[in-house]
Amino acid sequence: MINWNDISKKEFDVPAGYFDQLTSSIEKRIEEEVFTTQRTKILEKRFGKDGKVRRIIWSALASAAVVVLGWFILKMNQLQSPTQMVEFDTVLDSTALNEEEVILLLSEEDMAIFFEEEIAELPAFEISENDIKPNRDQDSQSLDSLTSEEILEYLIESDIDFLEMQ
Amino acid sequence: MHSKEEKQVTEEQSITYFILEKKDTEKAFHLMLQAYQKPIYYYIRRMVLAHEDADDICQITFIKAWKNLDRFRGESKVSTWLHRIAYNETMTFLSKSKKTNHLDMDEAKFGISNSLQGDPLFTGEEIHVLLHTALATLPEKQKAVFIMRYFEEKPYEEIAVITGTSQGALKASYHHAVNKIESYVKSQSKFS
Repeated sequence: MINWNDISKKEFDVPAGYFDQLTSSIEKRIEEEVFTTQRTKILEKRFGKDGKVRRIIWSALASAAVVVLGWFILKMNQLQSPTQMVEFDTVLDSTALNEEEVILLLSEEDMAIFFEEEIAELPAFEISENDIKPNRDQDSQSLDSLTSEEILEYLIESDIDFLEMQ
Repeated sequence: MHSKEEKQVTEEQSITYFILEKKDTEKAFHLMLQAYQKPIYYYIRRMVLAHEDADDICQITFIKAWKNLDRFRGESKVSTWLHRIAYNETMTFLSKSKKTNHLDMDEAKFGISNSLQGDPLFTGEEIHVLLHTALATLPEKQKAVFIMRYFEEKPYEEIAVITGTSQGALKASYHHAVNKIESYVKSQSKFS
């Protein structure tokens, strides 16, 4: 039989200062708990009791909006980029024209673009009033000595020159 | 001059008063921590043996107590209520570690004996090693009853509240535990 009275009831020890450390650990953890609880209460007040679900929905919607906006910006950039060059094979495949007709079509297209660009690059041509209206005094002096046929010829030549200038 | 028991009663009463009246729960909790951390720690330590595990469970016990402070109705003593939380937490821990360890009884006994002898915080004698090895052979609840009754000298009435078992069943359980321990110690003395 065991003599129970002989057995000491102190068989375990703890590290020095353990219980002070235990107190501070527990109180620190409780402070964190209190902080978390208060934070949750504030969030619940702001978003309601189902705030957690609502916050998840809002964040999902915000993410979706960002994705849609990104896609929209990408598409806009694609629209603004220069159009692709028309290639011979592409036109040949997509039309019932033969090779010569396609070459002619593309040449005409190129020429049209070329002329448009050339015209756009020309300096603005301004015609002053004096260019259009002849100096009446000067002309009247010289015209006085001419016959009616010579005057007519002169006027026709002036018109041709004017038209050529334009 | 107050005796130790009278001081404990006064302390218990003031903690209960602060909790129930919701006057200053932080102060009440601090008093509770100061008054009961040692008995709670040693109960858990005897159940799980390792200091690190006892430390973890002890912290969990007091944090749970803090969280449920408003549920304390004063139907039992604060120490009993706290002990019940510690009992439940320890049982949960032991059942989890039993599931992960998968040791047979001989391996468990050998492991306990070795770890106690190698533990610098174990100050017991040879009989304590035998006693704790014998305790490892008991069902967890019987072990808890033995620790509360023998080491902490708690009345059956209080143990009944902590474990949720009738006093009659507890008396039988303690009696069986003592017999098993004695027979184990006897067998070890015989063959060693």
